[in-house]
This record gives sequence, C-alpha cells and structure tokens, in this order.
Amino acid sequence: MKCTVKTKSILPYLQNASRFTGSALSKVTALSGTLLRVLDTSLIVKATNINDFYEATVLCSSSQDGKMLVDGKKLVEFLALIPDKEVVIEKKDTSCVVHTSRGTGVFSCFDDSDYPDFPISPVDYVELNKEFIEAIPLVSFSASKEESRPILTGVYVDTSLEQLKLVSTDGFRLSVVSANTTTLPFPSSILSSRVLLDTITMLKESKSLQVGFNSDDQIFSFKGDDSVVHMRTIQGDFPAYAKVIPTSSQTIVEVDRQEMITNLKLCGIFARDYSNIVIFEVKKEEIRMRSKYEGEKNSIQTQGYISFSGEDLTIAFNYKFVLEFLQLVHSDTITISFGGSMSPCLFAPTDSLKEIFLHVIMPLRTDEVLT
Amino acid sequence: MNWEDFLSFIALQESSSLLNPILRNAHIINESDTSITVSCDNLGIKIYIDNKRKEIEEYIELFLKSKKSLVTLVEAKGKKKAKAIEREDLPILSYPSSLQYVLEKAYLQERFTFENFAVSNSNQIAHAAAMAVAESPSVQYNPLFFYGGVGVGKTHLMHAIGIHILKKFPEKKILYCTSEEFTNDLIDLIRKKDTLQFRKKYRSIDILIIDDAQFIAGKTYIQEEFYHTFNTIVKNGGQVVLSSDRHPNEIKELEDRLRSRFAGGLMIDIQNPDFELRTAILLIKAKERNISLDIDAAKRLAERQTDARALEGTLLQLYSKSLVLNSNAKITTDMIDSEADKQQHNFIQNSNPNDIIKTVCLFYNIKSADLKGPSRKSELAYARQVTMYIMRTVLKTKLDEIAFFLKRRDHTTILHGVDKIAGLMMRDERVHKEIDTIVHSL
Repeated sequence: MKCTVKTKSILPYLQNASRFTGSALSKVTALSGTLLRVLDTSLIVKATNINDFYEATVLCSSSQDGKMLVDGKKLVEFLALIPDKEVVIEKKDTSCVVHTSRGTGVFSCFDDSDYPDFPISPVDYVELNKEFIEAIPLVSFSASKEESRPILTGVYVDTSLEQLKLVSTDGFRLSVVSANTTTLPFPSSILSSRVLLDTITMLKESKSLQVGFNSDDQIFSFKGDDSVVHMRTIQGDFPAYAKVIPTSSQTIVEVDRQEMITNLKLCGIFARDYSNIVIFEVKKEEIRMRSKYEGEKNSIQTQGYISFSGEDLTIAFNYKFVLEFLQLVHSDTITISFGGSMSPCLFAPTDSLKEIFLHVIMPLRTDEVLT
Repeated sequence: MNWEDFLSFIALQESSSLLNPILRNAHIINESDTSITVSCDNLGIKIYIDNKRKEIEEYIELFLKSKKSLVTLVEAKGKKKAKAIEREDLPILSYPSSLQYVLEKAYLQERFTFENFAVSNSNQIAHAAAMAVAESPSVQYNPLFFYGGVGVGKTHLMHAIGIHILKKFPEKKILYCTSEEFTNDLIDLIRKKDTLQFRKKYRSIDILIIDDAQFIAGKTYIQEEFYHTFNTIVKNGGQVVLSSDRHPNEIKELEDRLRSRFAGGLMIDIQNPDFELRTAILLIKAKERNISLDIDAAKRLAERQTDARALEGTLLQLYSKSLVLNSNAKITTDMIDSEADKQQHNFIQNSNPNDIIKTVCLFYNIKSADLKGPSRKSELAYARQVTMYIMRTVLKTKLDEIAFFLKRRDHTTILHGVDKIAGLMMRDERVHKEIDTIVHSL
C-alpha cells in the first residue's frame, strides 16, 4: 500500500479516528489501531471500539492499493509536527513508513486479519437540520459519566411524539430539549451521549448531515460530507423522565445569569470542602448563597432578583450542577422554579431557548435544609 | 467450566488476535449439561461473539471434551462500582414522595421499621446486627441469618433492614421474598422456558432478603439455583439476609454447601419474647392504633398471652369488645382475664390429639406410624414423650386416653413420659423452646 496525501487533509480524520480507539477495549491491540486503506485515489480511514465505528475518505494520489492497521495516535502526534504540505505513507513489510522532508517515521503495524467488519450502511438517510445539531450539547452534559449504568450514559432520542425530543439524565439532573424539527422516522433509541457529541462535533461543518438506521444491527449511521459514524444503540429502557418534571412551583425567581455564575464560583471555593453543597436562602428581598456550615461568616454571597414571586425557602444544591447549566445557556437572565426544599427545581433560560429547553436539578438533603 | 482457564486454552490455539481479548469482556453466568451462558458488557461484544459462535463452540468442545452450545446475553457489569451516593444526594428518579412506590416494588412493608421494633434481652443482638447491616450493607455480616420460633420478630427485622437501606441508599435494588415465592417464581419461569429472566431478576439484586429459608430444604434444583444466586450477589458486592425457624444445622436435607455459605456470615438466634418485651410490644401496638391501654392491662395481657404473634390479634379483639362494653373504650384487666380463659377453653375444645401427633411428626420429620409404633429408637421415643407431654398439659387429655392414641400399654408409660419432658424443660432451654414452638404452631 502506498499513497501521497495532504497533511492538513488527513490529520483531522486521524484525530477523529483516535476518539474511537480510546475505550477500555483498546487494550485489545487490533482495536487500538486505525485502519488505513488505499483504494484507487481514496485513502479510507477507519476506527472502531466494536460498538461505534468511524470511517472517512480522503483524496490521495500516486497510490498503490492495500491496507494496514497502525497506531493512529502516534501517527497523529507525528504528523502534527510535520511542516510538509504532503507526506507519503507506505506499508513496508510489517511497518508503516511515513516519508517527510525531515526524514521518515516508522510505525509498527498490527495484525489486521481479524479487524471487525463495519456495519452495512442503511439504505435510506434522512437530513438532519441545525436545530438537532444545536440540541445535542444542551442534553449531553446531563448524561452520566459512570459506565456502571449504561442507560444513563445515553441520550434518549424520543421519536414517538410529533416533535423530536432529546433527553438525558444522570439520576440527579435531567435535560429535555424539544428539537425544533419534526420527528425522525426511526424507533426511539438511546445513543451514547459521548459518541453523539463527538459525532456532532466532527460532522457539524459538513454541508449535509444525514442519519439512517439499520434495525438488524441496531445501529444509527450519521453521514457527513466525507465521514460516517455508525453508533450502536444502548439496550434497555430509559427511565420515565416525564414524571419528574415539575408541573407546579412554590417560588419562581428570575436572576442575572452572569452574577449568579460569579457568586457560585465564589461559594464553590469553600463548598469544595463540603461535597460541593451550596445552600440557597431564597428570601423575598434577595437570594443568599453560602457553603454548608459557613453560618454567618463572610463567605456568603447575595444577589438581588429581576423578579420574585412566592414564598421564602431554603434549598441546597450541588453547585457544580447549577454552574454547568448557567455556563451552557447564553441568555442574560435565567428563571428558577422551586417546588419546595426537597422537590426537583426547574431551571430555564429566558431567551428563545426557553421554548425548547428545560433543565431539572434535584436538591440535596442536608440537616441545614431539613431543620 | 473455569472461564479463565478456558481463555488461557484459547490463547494457546491459533485463534484470532481479537477473540481472546474480547472474550475477557464476557463472563460465564450459567452452565448446564448442554449449554454455557455468558453475559457481555455491551451489545457490540455480544454481536462479535455471536458471529464467532461456531469457532468458540469448537474450542469449548476441545476444552471440555463435550459439546455445549453457547448462549449470550447483554448484562451491563460496572467494572468499577458507581460512586456511592453521598448521604445528601437525592436521585431525581426516585425522590422522597415515591418511597412508597419503591417499597412496594421491593415487597417491603412500611409498618415494619426499626423505630417500632421493641428491643429486649431476647432480641437485642439480632437488632444490633440488623442495624449494622442496614447502615453498611455487604460490609459486616454477609449473609445475616436470623433463626427462631414463630412470632419472635424475624420478618419485622428483615423488612426494617430493607426499608432502612432504601432510605439511606435509594439507588440500591432490594427484593424481599419468602423461599416459597422464590421457588414458585423459578418453577413458573421454567415452565415458560425463561430461566434467564429469573436469573436476571434475582442475580442483579443488591440486597436479597429471603424469609423462611428452611422451605428450600429437600428441593435439589431450587437449592442449586439459590446457591448460584447467593454466590452471584455476594460476588457483586451485594448483601443477603435470611431467616428460618431453626438453625441451619438443624434443617434436614439442606445441602452442605448452603449450610457452609450460611455459616460464613452471622447466624443469630432470636428467642421468644419475654414478659417485659411482650408488654412493650403491646404498648407499641396500642399506640399505633390509638387504643387506650394502661401499663397494668398491658402486663396482664402479656402474662396471659405468651404467643407474640397473637398479641396484636388479642389486643384488637379486646378493643372491639371494649367499644361495645364501655363508652371510653378502655381495656380492663377483667376483660383480659375473661378473654384469655375463653380462648383457652376454645383451644381445648377445637384441638384434638391427632393435630398434636401431626404437628410433632412434622417438626421432628418422622412418620406418624413410627410415632405410634413399638420402636424404642431414641429419637422416636423422645418425640413420643413430647407428644404425651403436650396432650397432657395443653389439652388436659386423660392418661389412658393418651395411651390409647399412642398405642401404649398403660397410663404409667404416659406418666413417665410427661414427667421426663417436664424435667427436661426445666433443665434444658432448648427443649423448652422446642415445645413452645410446637405448641405455637398448633
């Protein structure tokens, strides 16, 4: 195998491919490698972790057909430092040799005889609009990072309603986005939040982004201009999320978002020592935020309201959850609807996103709130 | 089949470089004569293994020298446990108002808590052990095994453990059932050819609470299934709590490997409640039901009613009588005496010697023909004497009538038997408990 390829062309695809070789299974040599295959004037880059698959096609020249499985991460590091506009990549015996103006880089090839087969692409694809693309980051941050509960690491793509809904939860907070698009002609499924976010990041610059579904293999395929990501669904039932969305509230406030970010960061300096717990004293005049056990010491932050309605209450949150939400949205103000000290609270932006995005955070149970 | 050994065997064969590492992400969960079931961490691994099934089955045949088919399923197994949820965290998926739902799902009854469990000398160790397990499941005593007679509070403690754990660790999966329900479930799913569903239900539990475990004795397949369930739960860091009406060593036809598993944790005997405890139980129950019961009446009732389980029933009977007899619905000591005498009289009227013979035979696992037969084997003679004692003291049956029922020659044999048991009861607490258990189960 041999080909000449533009460095700037191939590098992003190799970087994308290395996202798929970083799983626990990458201890398996074959799965830690990136497959390079030359077919006429195309260099195909492939990587998989056996559940998710990435393939991209790059133009190349002076080619000789063939394939090899190499350590993609090392190759990326090497090529990133090369100033050459073009490099020659060839397979020599059991090595991958990259010829540059500065010299050569020699990388060992892995045995590719048993490299997993890639899924067959679906017959039909459907166009995804930018609303779907923009919705993914709004939900993926709430998904769990713990692999011990795979269902919660996913984003639930609910296609059962007229409007497409994307939902994620880690058990302590919940995000729901009603994507401003008609629903997809596929069954409701759970997709890995991490892979979905990576996919959208990799493919969002494509002129056209499409999605298809292979029901036999339970795989969704996201196709960009020259890349495809095949993503296996996560098996199991997503929790009944609708039940936990509050429908009524005891107190509703609107506050300045940036001010609250600053206040929470200040409280967080002390809250870090107390399981990230910040107590919110929501009173008619102002909202006071402090770390647990701080009492009347001077690490209390206060903030006024844009509006307040309802009753005073005291409530505790993991401040990082609130901060993540505040940093994700862009509106000048946000609204918080409280149902009570022990009830889930609804956080919402006040700009156009408020029609489609809601975020629920469960408060914490502490002695200071219960007494 | 030892999975690790099998993987080492495959590594020596000329297999694909991918096969062995991927099989390390699968775990054997069941093996029968004809098949081996492995669970895979995710669907990708399952599909890969399914595609290589023929090759793997050939290796299995080479390794085991017998043919077995390979069955795969997906079972998410966290390689690291989910971070223990801190005490303050409230999961969004089951917030406080759904505690009842969670308890129902676990088949736990909210009325049995540590708060309303009366503690005394007869059960304080059991109570302490239960609290320790509830506070830190799987850490201290695993399994925790309670045994004791009827109505001593085993079920109450087991429910209390489950409820306490659920309140403290809402994400834990808890299941309470009797061994009979376990058995029925298994039989039902065998009939439906869905044993995998059974295993999924019971082996993925964090806390398994089995009541009346003595009923799995003598049932080979049930015991085997329970053995594997027990091992899987404990291996995955779960907790098992069991109860029985007797010490595991006294459960006949219980497999040694189960006996040894039970002995690996903590086995606690709960005695019959003494007078003070019965009084305390009555006062608690009266308070729960808003029944007016003073301390003297509680003491009198505790004196007359030694069966802990019947305490609440008797209390309610007296309460309903008091509603009719006096306007302030107060339970008096006279009412208690009169009711107790009436119950005694009814019991004697309604019971017959055959009931006692049946109950004794069931308890000692002997045949009624042997009990009445001429054999002088010590275990039969002992059971016979217990029967004589109970007939004499409880039913007040005449000596020659007892001799007739038990096919003995004359009344002197009966007299000797009654005196012997009476003497043993005074000297040996174990005999006393046995007799009490038999009488209560009448």
